[in-house]
Amino acid sequence: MLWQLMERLNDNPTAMFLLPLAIIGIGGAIPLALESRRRSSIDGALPEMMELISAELGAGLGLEQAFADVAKSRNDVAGTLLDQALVRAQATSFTAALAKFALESRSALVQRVVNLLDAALEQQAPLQEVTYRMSIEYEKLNSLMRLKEEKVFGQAFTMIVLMGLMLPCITGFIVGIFAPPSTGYPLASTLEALYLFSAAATGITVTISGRMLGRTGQYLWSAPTWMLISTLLFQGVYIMAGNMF
Amino acid sequence: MEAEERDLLAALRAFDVLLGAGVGLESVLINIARGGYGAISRDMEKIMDGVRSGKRIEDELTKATSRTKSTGYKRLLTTLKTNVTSNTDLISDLRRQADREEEERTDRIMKYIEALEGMPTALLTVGMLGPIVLPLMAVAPYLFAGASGLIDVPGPGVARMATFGGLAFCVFAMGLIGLKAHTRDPGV
Repeated sequence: MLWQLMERLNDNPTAMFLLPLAIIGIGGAIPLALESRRRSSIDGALPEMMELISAELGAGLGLEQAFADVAKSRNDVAGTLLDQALVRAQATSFTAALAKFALESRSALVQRVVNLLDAALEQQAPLQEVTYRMSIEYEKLNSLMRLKEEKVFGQAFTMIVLMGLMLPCITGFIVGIFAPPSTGYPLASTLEALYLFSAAATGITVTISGRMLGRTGQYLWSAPTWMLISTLLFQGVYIMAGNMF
Repeated sequence: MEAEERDLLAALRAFDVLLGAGVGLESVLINIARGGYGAISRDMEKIMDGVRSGKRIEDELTKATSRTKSTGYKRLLTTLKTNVTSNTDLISDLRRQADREEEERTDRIMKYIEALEGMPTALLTVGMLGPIVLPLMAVAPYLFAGASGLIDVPGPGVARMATFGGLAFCVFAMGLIGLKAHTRDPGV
């Protein structure tokens, strides 16, 4: 059975080419997906953290104490990172701890917030008002990004399902019915072109979907896997339909 | 969309926060120029380089206004310049501008979502028609082999070339359809 499958794979040069790329691609896509999830968790926690800091400052606590309380009250990635940064601050300074937190978060939003807080601290500005306004601003930004992600994700998912799974099944079935191997038409090169087309169409769709969601890198890494699935589906359905009719 | 518009709202909020906190305009410009606001940071750096070399800040702001094509960023620079020359209420002006930018950003995202709505259908149309119609062309010389006296049937080589060309064109067309996802991105 396995040898038969390998033999079939030999007829599909596109799949043979994509197989090692897909394995490498999975290795590249997973860290990027984890990083994206981690960063969106930190970005999502930012408005709440700012609001809490603002409330603590309003209650008369210092900025360092407010940050320490926020770090202790959260058990997510942002809280852990902040807690680690504050532990290190005991050996350095509070500003250095904030800079470390911004750096390790790898989030542009956090880096902007820390930059602004740093400048406000230097000027001894009223931080309660500053942090409160930041919390509102980032809350608005996060809701807008969530809205975009929700709406666009549906379309991106539909596109991948349609082009990567449905299209190869439908076209493989039609080609299998009208030009099965039993007819004896010399269509080997046309079939190879169709295998390649299935993969290319899926690759383009996955890249477009990634661009729509703002995760082009992650989706580019996963594209070879989708392309392999697509071309194998086409081949499988073509052979099945050709044997059935 | 101009490069400056991507980070304009964040820069406006930074101006608002820092000026509201009592930081001077020049310090705010230095802070923004340090980085984190993309094209705006780079432009502010140029402005501050000019100021450091002895030029007047209002002249550098005017120069920056003529450099940019972004309407929103042009508006910000003009507001800053007006404040330097006429001492206006900069914070409330910038807050109004930031609110306006925020509304525009929401509109841009909504338009982007709307623009993408037809994309799955368009991609599927091109992606379906190509592999259904074109293989028929490749099979045509064999299907109509017996009717070569009645109708003009292209040779297998020509039919194969037309099929491959057609499939390549379909992939190219799909790429062109998908380009919309990149060109209309509001950059949030």
